[in-house]
Amino acid sequence: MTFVTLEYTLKFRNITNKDAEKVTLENKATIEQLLKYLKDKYGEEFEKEFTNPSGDKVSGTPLILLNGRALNFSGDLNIYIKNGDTITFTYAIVGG
Amino acid sequence: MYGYAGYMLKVNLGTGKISKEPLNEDLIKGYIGGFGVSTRILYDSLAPMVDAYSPENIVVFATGPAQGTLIPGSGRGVFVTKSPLTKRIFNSNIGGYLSSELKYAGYDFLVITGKSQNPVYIAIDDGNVEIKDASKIWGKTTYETQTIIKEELGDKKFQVACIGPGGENLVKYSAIIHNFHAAGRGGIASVLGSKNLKAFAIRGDKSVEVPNTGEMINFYKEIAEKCAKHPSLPAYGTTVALGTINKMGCLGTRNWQTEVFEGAANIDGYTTIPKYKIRDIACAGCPMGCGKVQEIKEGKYEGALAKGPEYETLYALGSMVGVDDFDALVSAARLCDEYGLDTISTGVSIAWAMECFEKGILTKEETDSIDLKFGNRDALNEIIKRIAYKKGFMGDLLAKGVKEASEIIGCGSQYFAMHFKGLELAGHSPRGVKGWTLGYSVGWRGGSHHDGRVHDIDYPKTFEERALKFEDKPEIVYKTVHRVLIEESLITCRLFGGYYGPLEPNENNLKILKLTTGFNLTLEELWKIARRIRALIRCLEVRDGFNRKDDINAPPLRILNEPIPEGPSKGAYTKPSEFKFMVNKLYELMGWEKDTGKPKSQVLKELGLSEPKIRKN
Repeated sequence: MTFVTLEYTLKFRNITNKDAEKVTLENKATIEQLLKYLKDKYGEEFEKEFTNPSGDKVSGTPLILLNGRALNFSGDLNIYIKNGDTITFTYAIVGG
Repeated sequence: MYGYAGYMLKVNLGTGKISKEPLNEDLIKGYIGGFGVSTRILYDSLAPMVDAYSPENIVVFATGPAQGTLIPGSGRGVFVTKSPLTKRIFNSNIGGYLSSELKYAGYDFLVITGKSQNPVYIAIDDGNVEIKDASKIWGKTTYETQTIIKEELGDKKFQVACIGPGGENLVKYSAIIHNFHAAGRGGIASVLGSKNLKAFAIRGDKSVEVPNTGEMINFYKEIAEKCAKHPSLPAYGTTVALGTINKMGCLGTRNWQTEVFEGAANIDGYTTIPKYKIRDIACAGCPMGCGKVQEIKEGKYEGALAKGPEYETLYALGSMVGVDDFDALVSAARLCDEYGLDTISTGVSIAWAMECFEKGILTKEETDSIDLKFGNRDALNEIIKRIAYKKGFMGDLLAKGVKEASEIIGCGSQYFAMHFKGLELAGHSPRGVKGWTLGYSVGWRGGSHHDGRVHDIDYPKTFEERALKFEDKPEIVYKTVHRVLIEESLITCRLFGGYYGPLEPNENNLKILKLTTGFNLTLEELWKIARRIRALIRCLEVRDGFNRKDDINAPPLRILNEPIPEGPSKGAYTKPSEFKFMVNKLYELMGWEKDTGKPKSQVLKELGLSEPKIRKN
């Protein structure tokens, strides 16, 4: 089994109603499988943030950080999640 | 002329002459307004090499066609002058109600020249303009000054911009304050201080005409609906950027010795807004309302209150100085606002001094017995007061900015003096977001996060694309810098980049120009205006003796030699060979000579500009 920490900020926190949680995944689970798991758990609203982001596309681009490094939606969804990984669901935010 | 008040107000503080001149239509068509037109004004009016504190230096407060209209994000104005920190042309943008009020008073530009013999302020009451005595308010803080001037003029509707003790005492990074807003960067307040100008106050009753009010209202509604759905800015402003940037390992910490701050969660808006926010504020006509006023309600810093603090302030007065005590941070931000100091430059200068202290380069003898260690919250607050009044050795030293201070102290401290071209580094990592090494270095302002907004494009990218790849960065900087120049000339807020287009000059910029002025330009024509403004800025730099060498030598040595030591962006830095490749490529795109950095003659000719006289610095 693979034990991971999931962190949620902003709208993701509103959807999940939590800041973080620890979940157990099957061995060799991928990011894509994790997203499906979260969609099943929290509903379509979670998935919609990726397929139809709220707000604009830049100031609030949804972001998945795997141990602090952003994933590329088109190429990184089949990455295997490792035991102890932290996956953060957040947004790329500009500031000044 | 739709979108413009139609006049330029000129005030000569030396002679007391006040004049009103109609706007030159060719100037508008060639440069739009705001920073674009101001650049032309400086180019035509300033003698080469003029000192920032010379009475010959001029300060322009500029609006663009968007100000005073319903364009979302138009509550901005821009100050333009020559900076005492960078010795170059400098633009510093401010929010609030100042710019729209200038348009309502009947002016697009306020041009301040000369130097008054005594402290004064300028009162602009619709058509009536006066230079008034400010001897009783000289020495007052910025908040006191705003209140006193409104009382003296007998109308709370006056919008006041003023300097505090920092500007009066010629602190080289002093800030102009209006309400809770600041034109922080570049030390423009000290230029006003050198002219003995304490403030200006504006009130107006006119309106700004646009070609089609219905279309303008529809545009406002369209953008306002998008703003309401924004995942972070309406609720948290920029305060939550800190947590995300820290998670990516790109947050300047303890003078950029590392880029992971263990105390980030304590000062991030995600933690503080629910506890400390007392109200939201917005600039004129803004549907986003990103300003969050937070107040400390108990403890040692009870009563401290500040807008935000915005992301850049959380970086500079938080992670950079190792302070994760939010109460102390808000107090420090408030002190900067009251004394009129730029929070970024203040924090970065103190962080440099802290590293010097911890390395034994500065001792308690130089710090006037202050224990200037990273994380010392009381030292942070105390040293800010000393900077504003140039009190003691440290106060006087740090008031000069980190470049000059490190040159005075030496002992290798220039290696970690975190500035580009004299301007203290903003909170976006030139190592973790590699394009920023280029953007800061070739930008005319140096360490400003606005001249080549690489992070707008690169933050959502993977580590490899953001921090390792360098070949694509020149094109990103080339495009974003021209987009920013259009935004600075229209003038629209950078936080609307997501709606108006994050990369290059685009159809949305054209739409805003058409909605406000009726001008029906092509994208090619818009690009040409942006390129003209950029080339003219470069001509100003060349005329003052700056060249390629200044771009190549701009990055702090730490950035080119020390990889990020830990965290998610561990190992990232900009190799000197990569940096030179990026500079050369950007020069090619800009059409600048590789050896001198001067815009090529055929480029100047195409843009309708003349050759600058090259001076040797």
